Amino acid sequence: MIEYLHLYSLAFMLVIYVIRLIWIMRFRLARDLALPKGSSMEGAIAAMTTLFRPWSMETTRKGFIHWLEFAVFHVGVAIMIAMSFVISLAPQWLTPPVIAVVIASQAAALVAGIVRLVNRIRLPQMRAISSADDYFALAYANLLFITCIPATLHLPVWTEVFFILVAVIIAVVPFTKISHYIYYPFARYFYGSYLGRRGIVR
Amino acid sequence: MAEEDKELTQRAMEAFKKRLTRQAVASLQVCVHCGQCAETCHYYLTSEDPRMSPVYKMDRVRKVYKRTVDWLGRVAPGWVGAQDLDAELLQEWVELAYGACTMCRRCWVNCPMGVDPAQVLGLARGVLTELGMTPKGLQATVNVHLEHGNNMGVSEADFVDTLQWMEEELQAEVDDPSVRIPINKPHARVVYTFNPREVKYFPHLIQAAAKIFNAAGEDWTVSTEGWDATNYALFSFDPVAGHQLAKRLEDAVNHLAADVLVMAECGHGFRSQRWEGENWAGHRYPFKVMSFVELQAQYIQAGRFKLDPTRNTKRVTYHDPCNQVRSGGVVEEPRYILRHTVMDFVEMEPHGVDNFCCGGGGGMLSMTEFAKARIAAGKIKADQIKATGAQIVATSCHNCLDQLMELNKHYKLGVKVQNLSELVAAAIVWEKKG
Repeated sequence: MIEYLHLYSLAFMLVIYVIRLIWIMRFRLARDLALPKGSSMEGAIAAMTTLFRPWSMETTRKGFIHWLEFAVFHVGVAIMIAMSFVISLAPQWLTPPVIAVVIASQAAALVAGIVRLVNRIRLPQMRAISSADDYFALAYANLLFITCIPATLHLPVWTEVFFILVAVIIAVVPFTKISHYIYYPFARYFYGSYLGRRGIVR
Repeated sequence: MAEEDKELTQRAMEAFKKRLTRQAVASLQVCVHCGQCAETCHYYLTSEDPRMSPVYKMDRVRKVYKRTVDWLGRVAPGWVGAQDLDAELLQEWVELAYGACTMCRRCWVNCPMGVDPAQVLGLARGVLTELGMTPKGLQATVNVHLEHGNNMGVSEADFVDTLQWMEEELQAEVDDPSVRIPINKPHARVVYTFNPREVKYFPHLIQAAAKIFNAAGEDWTVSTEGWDATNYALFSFDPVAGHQLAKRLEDAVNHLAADVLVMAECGHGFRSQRWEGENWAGHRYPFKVMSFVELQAQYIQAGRFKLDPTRNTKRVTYHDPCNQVRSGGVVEEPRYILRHTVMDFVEMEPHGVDNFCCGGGGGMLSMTEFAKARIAAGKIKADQIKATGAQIVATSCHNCLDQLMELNKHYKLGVKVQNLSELVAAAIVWEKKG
């Protein structure tokens, strides 16, 4: 039963997300009326793919280690979310090579997550912008990476703990900073279409 | 809270909510506090003060958003760092939104999420303007422009006098009495504008522009009804004043029935009229708006005049004005011009869309109370220039020009700062018409 708990949370999250989408669409869209110099669509496409092209942006070019950290962390999150389905709904997929990939990804993501948390606490410029929500999101993600490994191995108690943690975070996500990914396409689209329209495509 | 403060914050909140567009909300929601923008900001890089990172500055505004609009911030403000707006926070907005951000958008183009801190801080600027809290120098510039038709209060007689004087100077320079600066000529193809600083302090730039137009055989004119290319309401985020100022030029072009409005080498002026004017007006112009930089590049490409780059032998580097390069799309044209007009053009690093702000953007030169921080933040630009070994720094914006001249003096760079048109005019091989 506990394996299905996160599915209920997921349903709740989807409802909240739909409400969130309707909510943001209710804000006035500022339009650019001037004659375009370039293509807003071309700009939007470029903007959506920037994260996969770390050489295209100074922050990711110069801060390549930071980008790598970001990539490892988010791949870990994606695999962890996938595991919350696979463990309960398709355990037959958990072959030894898959388990090895899961363990490696979660361990790497945990390292990246710890580095991020330490930097947030250690660096004055990061402390100055951090709220409880920021620390919580990172700490909680790290906890999920830790519990995902024994849950993938079907160790008793750990599996239950993992599913409870997943259920809680899924329900909480739409209200916290973790909801950034629902707004990410909006922000990137606005960024890309604005620059693209004005003839600036990176 | 005193009754006066309550009323102030109530007005501020009304102005704040009115300005929340979908784009601004996306920026306010999506920021994950990764802090990467710190490394892109000239204020942070020169001070290493955590309060100077774009995300910190933006967060002063986001706190209010979180407290009043965001779901979680409304019920658990402490959890997300939400805060009610009060007189103290409004004062902090003045110091950070006006005093520590040039709206250069370098952080935006380098944000992995697409967060636009300048837009959010611009929102704060707009709120402060509505409350009458805009720094006096900036507001005075807008007011003088609204009252006199140009931001330096130049009279029509002085303006016409200067044009005629420069016409005579140009005739003497090229030894050709047929060259003209046509005033209020109906049905000319092009209406050209000036920055009032050119009329007051840099009239040789009028001469340079006139030389280029005459050499290109352009059908052009200048309007006495509207000629000031600047629009400081862009910096105070006042769409009403912005529209009023932009409308003067719109009316001038319409009354002369011209096809193209060409904006002088003025970064924010170009952006205001080319990209924001129609948004403020709520309709499209029946004519085209372009930058003089774009037009000069077109002339060169079309072979409208002969150029001799050996007349500009010194090493030249180019400073990209933020409003042209990151908000206006004029990226390649200045480079094309320089490659054809000077012998030794060298890029500063970084350049183009990644170029640093000189520190003179955002109306900063009109706000003397922030001058010390402006010069300190300009150190990045001074270092960029030094590294090129250039003797001339070319740019295409008057605010940049003024700031670069101050940096030149302060950091003892030993360079000459020039507009692109000066270099183009100097390279023109004059051919007598007819």
